[in-house]
Amino acid sequence: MDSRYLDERIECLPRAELEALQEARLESSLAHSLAQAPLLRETWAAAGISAADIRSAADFREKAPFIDKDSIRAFRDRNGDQSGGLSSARAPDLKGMGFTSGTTGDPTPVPRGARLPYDLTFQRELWEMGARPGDYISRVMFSFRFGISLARFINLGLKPIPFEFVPRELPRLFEASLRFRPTTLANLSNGLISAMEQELDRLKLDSKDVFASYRGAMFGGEPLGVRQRALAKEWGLELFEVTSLGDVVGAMDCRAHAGFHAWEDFALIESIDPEGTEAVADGEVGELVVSSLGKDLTAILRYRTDDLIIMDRSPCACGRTHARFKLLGRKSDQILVEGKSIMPIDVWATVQAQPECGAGLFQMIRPQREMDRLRLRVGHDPARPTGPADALAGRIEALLADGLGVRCTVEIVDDADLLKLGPPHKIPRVSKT
Amino acid sequence: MSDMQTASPIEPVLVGRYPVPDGQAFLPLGARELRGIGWFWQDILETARFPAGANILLAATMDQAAQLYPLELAAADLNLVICSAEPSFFDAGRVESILRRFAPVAIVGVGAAMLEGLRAGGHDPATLFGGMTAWVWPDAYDAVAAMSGVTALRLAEVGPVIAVECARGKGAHFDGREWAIEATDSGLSVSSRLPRALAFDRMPIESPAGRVDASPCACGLSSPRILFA
Repeated sequence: MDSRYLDERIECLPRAELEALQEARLESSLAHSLAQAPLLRETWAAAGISAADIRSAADFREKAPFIDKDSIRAFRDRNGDQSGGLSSARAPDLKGMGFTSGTTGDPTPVPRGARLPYDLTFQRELWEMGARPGDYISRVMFSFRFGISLARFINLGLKPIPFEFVPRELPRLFEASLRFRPTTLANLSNGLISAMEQELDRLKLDSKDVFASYRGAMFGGEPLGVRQRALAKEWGLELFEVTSLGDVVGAMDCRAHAGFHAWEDFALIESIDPEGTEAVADGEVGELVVSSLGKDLTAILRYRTDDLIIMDRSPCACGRTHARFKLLGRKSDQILVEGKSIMPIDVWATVQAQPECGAGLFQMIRPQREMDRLRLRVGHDPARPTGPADALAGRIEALLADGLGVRCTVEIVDDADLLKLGPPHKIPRVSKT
Repeated sequence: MSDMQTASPIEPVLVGRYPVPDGQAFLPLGARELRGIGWFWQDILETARFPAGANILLAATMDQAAQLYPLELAAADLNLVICSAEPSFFDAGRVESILRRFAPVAIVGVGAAMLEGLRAGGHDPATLFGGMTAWVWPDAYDAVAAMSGVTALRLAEVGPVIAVECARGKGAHFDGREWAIEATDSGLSVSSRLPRALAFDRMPIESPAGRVDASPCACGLSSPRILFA
């Protein structure tokens, strides 16, 4: 019998029982988390709090101190601890070390053991996309984040076909799609989707035939561009957006596509006032705060992720009871232009609507948070001009002034120049200069 | 599929790829084959006698999974910690960062693009790799072998076969139970010996060129070796 859910009982647990489960896991993992992570021990000691002071999730929310990226970096620099004080893992428990993208500074290490919570929740997401034991799955990914790590697929009975995360692999991906008929793909980016359009055209392939077997494809790492969303729809490829929950586990939108589902049996999530410490109500803008609930190699408690979200704990049309959230962007990417909040997501569609700017590559120039005008560096494809660059710049400036109500200055550069600034096909959306 | 390859009823657990003259071909692997490549890597790593808990930098891309994913499994069994990066020009910065911060005893997967990327970032690969064991692809082997203080060992794909030098560095071992590799007038030929998801019968390999030495190696492994030209 095929169930909609891989772990139906947990994924659809009534909220009261889910919260009771969280409380039980918090109680059983708190001592482990503090033992594992010297930064947490230091932070809790400075706050005058110990595990014995926490008798409930309510106690935790009232008393437990916060950590953030700055405190992790500071601990790393002060102590030479590459994990930033979040892990004491050593072999044999420690099997591998992945790394974040590292768009600024040294990449953050992400330790992995034999079994990762990430693997277990990732399998739920694959199942939701339609992957079933015996299916082939196209695995398009860079290896530095998790290693090659195919156990998460093989242990679910899937047959991965791995590809490097670069456009030159696309002909081989298309060939595999036609030959093996995989049912799912993980993952795509805006850059890869744009490159797919070009390669399908160059190879004269029927996109509907190429993607006919796919029940779903994961997309992650950045907001989905307007043009890329339209392309995927045209190809009959249903995209499922994924994001990270503080690197504890992932989060993915379901087939209802109404926000990212957090896996609340693995992570306690909160939405906190971005400028303070009080909880904000569902439906309001808050900062995502994550605490791990398992006995993981990396422990985080009340980690302020810098992600601005809108939380929704109402039941989802998919039947799952785990909270959903809409991701607005990074708090540190926010610019206040004459008092108006501007995030990269606010300019994305306008940039990408220009024919020369179909790849949607741009950067907001943010020397400080508050500015008197919005400054953008916008990538364009020089092979698709509609006129001189300064006319394109003027057009974008006028549209943004009209749409956002702020003054704007745009610098036009080649897409290729922007792509040099980040990991494969992902660029930092905000730059100081 | 060519005349030298035969599909079989063995269900693959993974579809990797292997080099062919005009690009890449798919390489379905069954569970037994994947395990076998892992044990092969375990034998090779044991010749180096790395201490338990040591870090090894594995520079690999996902498409190399058929040959290098089993190395991740083997390292885990030996209590070695794999630090992950990619061998591209672009990821050279990450490679340098790992070498500086995590002091791995070895690096696997050094290629020309990585060396170029390190130099473009203002780093000297010889200094970065000093004191380490480096398993190096053919396009970078001569450059790394010339680096003082670096133990350069060969790593090569001979069609679907992974060939890896042991710590002795006297020829690249391959799994002689799985594969028969013979010298021919135009190079080498590869045949599979045991049932597998995709069988091979005298598949010609023009590059890399070499000859096969079936004599026991001083490292103690009995698997045959390819002495590359």
